[in-house]
Amino acid sequence: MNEADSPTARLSLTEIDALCRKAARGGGCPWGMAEEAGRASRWLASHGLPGPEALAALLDTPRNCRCGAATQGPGCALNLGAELSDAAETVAKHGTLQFGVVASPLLMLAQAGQAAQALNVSLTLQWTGFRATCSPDGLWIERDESRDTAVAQDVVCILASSSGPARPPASSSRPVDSAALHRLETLAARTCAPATDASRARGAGAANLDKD
Amino acid sequence: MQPNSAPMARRPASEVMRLARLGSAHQTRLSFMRSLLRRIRQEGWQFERPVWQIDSRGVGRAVYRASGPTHTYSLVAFSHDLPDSARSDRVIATAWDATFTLFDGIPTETGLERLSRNVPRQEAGRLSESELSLSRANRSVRLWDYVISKLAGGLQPDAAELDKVGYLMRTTAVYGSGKFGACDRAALLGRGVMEAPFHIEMLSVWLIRTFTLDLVEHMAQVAGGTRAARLNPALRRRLGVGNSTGLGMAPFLVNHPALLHAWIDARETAIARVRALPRASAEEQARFQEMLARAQLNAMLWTTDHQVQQSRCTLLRDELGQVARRAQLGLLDSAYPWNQLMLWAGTSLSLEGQEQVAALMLEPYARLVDDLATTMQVDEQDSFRIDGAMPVRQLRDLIDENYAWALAPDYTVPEHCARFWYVSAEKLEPRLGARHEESGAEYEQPLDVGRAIAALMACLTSWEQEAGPVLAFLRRHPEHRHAVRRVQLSASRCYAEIRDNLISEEMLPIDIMRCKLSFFGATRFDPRSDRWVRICMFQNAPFPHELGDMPEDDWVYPPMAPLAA
Repeated sequence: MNEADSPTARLSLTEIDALCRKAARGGGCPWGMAEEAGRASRWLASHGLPGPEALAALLDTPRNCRCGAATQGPGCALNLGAELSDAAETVAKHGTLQFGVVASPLLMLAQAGQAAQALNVSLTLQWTGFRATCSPDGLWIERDESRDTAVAQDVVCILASSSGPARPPASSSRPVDSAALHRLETLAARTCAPATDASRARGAGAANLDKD
Repeated sequence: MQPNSAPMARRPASEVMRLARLGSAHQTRLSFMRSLLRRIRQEGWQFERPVWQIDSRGVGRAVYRASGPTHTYSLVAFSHDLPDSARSDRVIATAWDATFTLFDGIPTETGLERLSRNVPRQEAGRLSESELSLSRANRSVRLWDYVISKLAGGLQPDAAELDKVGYLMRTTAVYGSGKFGACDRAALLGRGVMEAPFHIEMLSVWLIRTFTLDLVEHMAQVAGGTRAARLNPALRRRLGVGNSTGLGMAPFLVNHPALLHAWIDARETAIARVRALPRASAEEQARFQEMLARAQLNAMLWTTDHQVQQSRCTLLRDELGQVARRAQLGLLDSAYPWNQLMLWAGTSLSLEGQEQVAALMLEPYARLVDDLATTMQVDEQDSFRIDGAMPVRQLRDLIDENYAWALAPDYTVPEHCARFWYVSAEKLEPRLGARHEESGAEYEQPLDVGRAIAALMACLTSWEQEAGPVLAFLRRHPEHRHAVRRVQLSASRCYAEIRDNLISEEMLPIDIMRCKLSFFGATRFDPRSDRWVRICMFQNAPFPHELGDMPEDDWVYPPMAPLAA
């Protein structure tokens, strides 16, 4: 079967952004945080990393999510990624920010990357078995044995004085693991209202056939 | 080129960004259909039709090739035999008279086979990174059959009959930007003209137009044999491509605030540059007068059954007459003539008339304004990140400065929150619900910008650490993250927000659609309800084979006399 004939094979960055935004919203995130989820997944995919897969795993992990009621478990990578982004000026000034225990920490790499670009600095994100530096030129991954870990114990963001051989984003699409894709689509579907005859007729404004 | 004169301020956002004025927008020199055809004419693009495999029932495929200096694009068209009963313009339709994709490069036979299994299924199929757009079109049944019968009999159709409809087919969706697996916009960087917003889609539609004319002549040939006539070139140019646009387009401008700012800013900068000119030469005045006369003809040809738009068109005809009289009485000989004209229009004409005048006065000034077309694309990543270090007090000041319109309504009053925007599970179609009559408000999309900003402001007012950073506020209130992003984005982009309540009882979705369609370059908007509008694209435009021989960018307003064949 040709890849383009498959309904679930390869997603464009635009599709990844939209799907992940909706899935996060369907999974209970407020819209602003859902936007971070879309953008982070897109950023990771553009660097050849499994952003959608990381998000799908996160949304199914019990975690301490400030947006919801739960206060137990590891920190949420969307919340803490947003915090990293918001506080990047502090990191740039003071050199380090600790995040402790984080679920799907890979998602936070996107926020580190976007902040590094915006502030024109280099930021290293690391946990046991993973270390990557984001610079305005791109991404340098030094260690990635535990890149896809479900929960990391010791996530920290550090101001870096230099970066290794950084690579700019190179992909405009990415194949997405079918189980993750299915999960994200299921969550995304929760943002859509079931169609009714009334909404079909009124909601969009026209129901007639063309006669002219 | 900067004018040698005093600078003139752009119109303020408080005036420009009101929905009623956006809903009166007219196309300008910067509209995408025009900038596309200007660029590809200047670059000397070549066009051919390497594939025409259409049978006697009009079923088959065709390929149109457009070759620019660095890249080649191919419109791949599939023509179908659609029963009348299945013809619907709704996005939820599942069959069409013709389906299309714009292919990046030259498709092989194998590639065409793959496309033939996917493109006719539209949203249910799957594209690859080699495809840049996906679209479909339905025939105008009355004009289609009429033109075939005339041509088959060796006769030309009546121009008045052509003008009544204006197109042989209308597109019901033109998707680009990475939808359904197609090539992502990120991959179009460095593509010259095709980097500009919606230029992929406009090129698709322009080539679709050629296909519709070729197909109707083919069918006439089948029916009439050797007696059949070809359509006279001047009559041919009278036909564009229809477009039927529903609510699906409306959320775009709200969801892309940085892009909206770039579009409006380019247009307002163009207007300001022309207003700053101390005088208009005889030649410039003559060009304006010519375009004014053609705009008057355009207003005469602008027909609609929509009662509100009907009366606006009637008024516009009268107002353009007033403009012509002012011009004859020497208004354009005064100092700063275009500024005088705008000031007079602002106090004497309707919004429809004011926006038409603003668009018209750009016409004589290609060298002064056309370069702004290259400023209308943005990298949205640049405006995404929240500045967490901003003091809360500054965020509140920004709201006071830019969002007075959002703070004014009392959103607990039913008419100020009467609607909710949602997405239907059915083909993911955006729809508008009545909050107090229908269920489903729990699916509301974040298009309630005014209400969201007002809620943010209420929360900020009770936040005590006003000298503290926004990041502390957001850590506590992640539910306001979307609104904070918008406020910060607008700080340096004054035209980013539609400054009206988009969930009000009185809000008209067609105003949002018209604004967007005017940037595409549409004219003669024909609202079919308050949430559905028909337009005609590329009417009177040159066809690919004659683009280089026709005057540059002189087609949007209809010609005063029928052009010679």
